[in-house]
Amino acid sequence: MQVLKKLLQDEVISKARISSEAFHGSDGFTVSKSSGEILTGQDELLNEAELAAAAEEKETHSFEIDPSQVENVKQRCLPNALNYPMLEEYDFRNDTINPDLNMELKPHAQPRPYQEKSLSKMFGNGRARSGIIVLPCGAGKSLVGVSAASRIKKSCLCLATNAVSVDQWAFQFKLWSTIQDDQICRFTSDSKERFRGNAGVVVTTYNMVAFGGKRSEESEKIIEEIRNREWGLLLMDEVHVVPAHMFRKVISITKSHCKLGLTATLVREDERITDLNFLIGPKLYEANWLDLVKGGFIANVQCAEVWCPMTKEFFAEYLKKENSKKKQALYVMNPNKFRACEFLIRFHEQQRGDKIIVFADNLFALTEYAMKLRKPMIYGATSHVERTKILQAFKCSREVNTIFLSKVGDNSIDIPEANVIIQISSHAGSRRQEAQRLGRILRAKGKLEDRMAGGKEEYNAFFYSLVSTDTQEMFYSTKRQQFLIDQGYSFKVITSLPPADSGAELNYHRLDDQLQLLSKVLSAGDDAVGLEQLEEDADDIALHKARRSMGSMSAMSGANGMVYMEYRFGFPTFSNLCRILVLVRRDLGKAILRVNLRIPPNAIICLKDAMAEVAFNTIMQKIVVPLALVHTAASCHFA
Amino acid sequence: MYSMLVTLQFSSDIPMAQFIINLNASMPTSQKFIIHILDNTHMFVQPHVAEMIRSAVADFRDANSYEKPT
Repeated sequence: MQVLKKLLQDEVISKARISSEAFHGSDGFTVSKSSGEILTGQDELLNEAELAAAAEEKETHSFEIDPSQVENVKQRCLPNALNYPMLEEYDFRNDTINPDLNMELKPHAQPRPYQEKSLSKMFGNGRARSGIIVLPCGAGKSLVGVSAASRIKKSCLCLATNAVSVDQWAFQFKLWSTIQDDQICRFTSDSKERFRGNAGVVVTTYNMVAFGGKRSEESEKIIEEIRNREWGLLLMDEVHVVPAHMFRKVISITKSHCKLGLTATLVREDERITDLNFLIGPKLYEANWLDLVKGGFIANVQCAEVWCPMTKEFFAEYLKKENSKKKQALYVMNPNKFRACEFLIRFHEQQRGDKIIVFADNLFALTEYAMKLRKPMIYGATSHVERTKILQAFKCSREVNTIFLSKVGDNSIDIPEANVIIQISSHAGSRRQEAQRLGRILRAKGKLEDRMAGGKEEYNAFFYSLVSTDTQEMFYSTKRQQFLIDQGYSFKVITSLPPADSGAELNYHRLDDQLQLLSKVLSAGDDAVGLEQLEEDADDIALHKARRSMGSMSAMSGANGMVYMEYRFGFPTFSNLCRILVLVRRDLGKAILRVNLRIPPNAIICLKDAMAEVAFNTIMQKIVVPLALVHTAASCHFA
Repeated sequence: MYSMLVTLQFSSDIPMAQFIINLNASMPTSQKFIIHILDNTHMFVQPHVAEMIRSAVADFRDANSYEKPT
């Protein structure tokens, strides 16, 4: 009861309440609908989650809030304010107002154990919870989505990022469930289908729904229908890519009882990711990538970072001020990197008979590498026909074992045959790109029994990231790997490729070849050596700023969301200590206004006597603080 | 006159030697510190700059390494 009072006394929430009469103790968990009111009760939040926290309370109370205020209320209940995290639940079985949709999973759709588990988190108590499910690429997200829809059996609005995946989703629905063709329709700029009957599945894109400009009469009608309908399930694919403001819009104009977000990588380089918590819901389930590897569901990948020292001449140019715009081109075209790449391609093609994808964001490098090595390449401007031809050859022909891809290949191109990735240049410090690229080779390879732990092949896929040492690339590369490291992958560092005693047969062995390459890089225009710009790049705005500010996104993305702070310093000094504390505070300052941290007692002593080096070293070893403990911990105040 | 100078032999890897050469080039003439470049990785420098070079190299390396925030 106290909890409820506190909630009601809260400024934000009390404003959002529709009427004080609506406050009543209801007897069950039913979604009570007050039909007389203009605002339908569809967004009603049952506060059972909070009340469950106060264990002695057995009865449930509910009050109604203004749908437009839902987001604010949810935000207010997050740990940084009231700390009563909300769960939106939808009691779909007892919802008699919205018509049922007759769809079942087909018997051949056998969810894998982790898919089953993620669904059980969502339908934990017979009701559907809103939230986000995180599964790696190639692990079968769409089956989870379709299963969720067929359990709820109400109208479902499915949002995807582009027209191609709209088609894929529609196909997946038909493949896994018994839905009739006339109950499912796609709504994109090309195909505007309308479904008959009173319940069905609509697959569309975020853009179509959130689009603010003028529409054709036909799509206006459809969008009107989408707006007016009460949706049982709002299924959102790839939630990590959609900007928060677009989400707000989509969520504000569609009325849905339950929202399910699906993604492979819950990280963004801007800090918007935390917004998802109150826009959609908490993370319901996250599969650990390595667990899926052990089960043989996705490929077992050996990740390696190959360190390529800069050659003398390239590094001299790299350091010159007038070449600041060419820095990227210089470290990507580093002859030692080229040789390492060529060596790896030869090794995997000849010794193992693998299929290799080489990724380069830098178009200049992509062209240079591909021409020199005589391999096909695909980038933004490659026509659809040519793309298909190259990919077909890569899949079927024994001659074509290596292709070069620009970042067009990050997400959309599905190449299940490939099992080696060599990354020669990348989009700054984007952890998402790293994970998505790794996702290209995650589809399980070979026989299941070989892939299981202890099977014949320890590794069946390889991910190499080539890095020029002593350049900015080192910074980006370590940052990019963080997501995969959080997932439990380890990166092996390889320092001498090609091996010292070989490599004479590779390109750029001789100095004058290298110098020729250097002059080519230097004479190319600044814009020619830059990054390829694609339309879909709009989201990673903050990438190029090498920010070291604290964010809590890793709290949402790491293995089980556990985050450890580890600091290693060569010279423990007072200023280092201060810096840590500031970092800690800034980070948590976002979550809790007064920082409560569990630090071993000597850390606090050390705060007062910071010059004591011995004590300092002990903190350095012990300041490994799982964020999850933060709430329960004793408080200590930082000056 | 040079025989009076106590010099410091500085050794590093190839890229870092280039970094130091570049650092030297960016200084005004009066503060140039490289006396002689022996080969790709060795050089003689004025004795008083050793610390400065070390810290410049450390800064440069720091700028290129990423510390995981929390």
